Amino acid sequence: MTEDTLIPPPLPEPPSTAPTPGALPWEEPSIGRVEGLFRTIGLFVTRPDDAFSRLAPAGLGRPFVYALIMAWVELAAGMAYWAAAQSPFMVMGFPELQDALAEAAVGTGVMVAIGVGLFVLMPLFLVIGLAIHTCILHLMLLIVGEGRGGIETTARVICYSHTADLANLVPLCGGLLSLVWFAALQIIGIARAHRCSYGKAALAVILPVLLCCSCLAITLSFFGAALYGALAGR
Amino acid sequence: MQPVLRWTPLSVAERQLAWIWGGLALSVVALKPLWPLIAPFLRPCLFRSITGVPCPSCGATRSVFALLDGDVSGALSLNPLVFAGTVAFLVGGVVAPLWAWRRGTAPRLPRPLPWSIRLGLVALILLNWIWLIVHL
Repeated sequence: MTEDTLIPPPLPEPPSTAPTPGALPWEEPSIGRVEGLFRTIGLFVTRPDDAFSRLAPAGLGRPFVYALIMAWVELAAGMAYWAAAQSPFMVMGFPELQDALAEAAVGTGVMVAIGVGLFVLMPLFLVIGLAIHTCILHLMLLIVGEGRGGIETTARVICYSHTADLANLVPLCGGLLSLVWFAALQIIGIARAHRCSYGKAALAVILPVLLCCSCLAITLSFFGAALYGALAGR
Repeated sequence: MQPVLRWTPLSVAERQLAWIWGGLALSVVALKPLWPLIAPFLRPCLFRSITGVPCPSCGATRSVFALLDGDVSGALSLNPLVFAGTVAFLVGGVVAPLWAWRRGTAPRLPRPLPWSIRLGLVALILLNWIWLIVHL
């Protein structure tokens, strides 16, 4: 018995426009830029472990643009807080501070010009900073016997770790918060993206600091011993 | 005996990196007049400010500026490791894009690196630091 030939064969399914499960929203072409940015920030803030395991296997353009946006936000926050603290408006209403007012106005003008210059040159500064940071961190990874994902993976991790720049929006303690968060994101990112242990990732990130501290301890020990010897010899 | 270097095809990201490297090296040289204007805005070394002892990267900015000005011996004495890194960066900035364009492969180091190389790198950093403590 033959099959019913009146039924047409099923049409091929149209290409799916749904987001690829597992990709970062920022790296997903089907998600809008702004929505993708905010969803990616949310992911790095709430579930960094999950976010870093979703990194695309290749490409540096989007991670760089992401880091650039974060750096611009940091710069804008820094300038805004500086302006709030130094603005001529702060000394208005105090007749005895008229001289200071003129000085502050000039200072503000100079700072705004510097801010605009930094804003324009930020891509270049960021590329240079990222290159230096990537080389140092990858060297440390090689020293601890890791880095199997290659230097471009380290670069991507550092780019997305710049999510921590957002902490600079917090007044006063934002800088310190950003520093700690940046280190934590790098450790998580290195561990996930290079598939190594958190211990080795942490060691690679804090190795330069450890190197400084241990050598400082040795130097101070020598100084201490010399001082003790000098005092004992008196 | 297993060879130290393996040659494998370049990935898309590595080709991008090679071109970024070239562009960056070109920018650093082309924007040479700009760097001394920016230098005063750089923060002083926190480690040196607190301890009085130079950190392993102290003198790096001055070394790069000296090299860009053509003062090779000055750059070398300010931070030998940074001097070597800057020369490698500038030479690599010319070689890497040409290599990525003309050749499709790149050398790979064994992973993990042999202990001898890893210890050698640490020793290099420490020796450079001792040099800085003595000379800066």
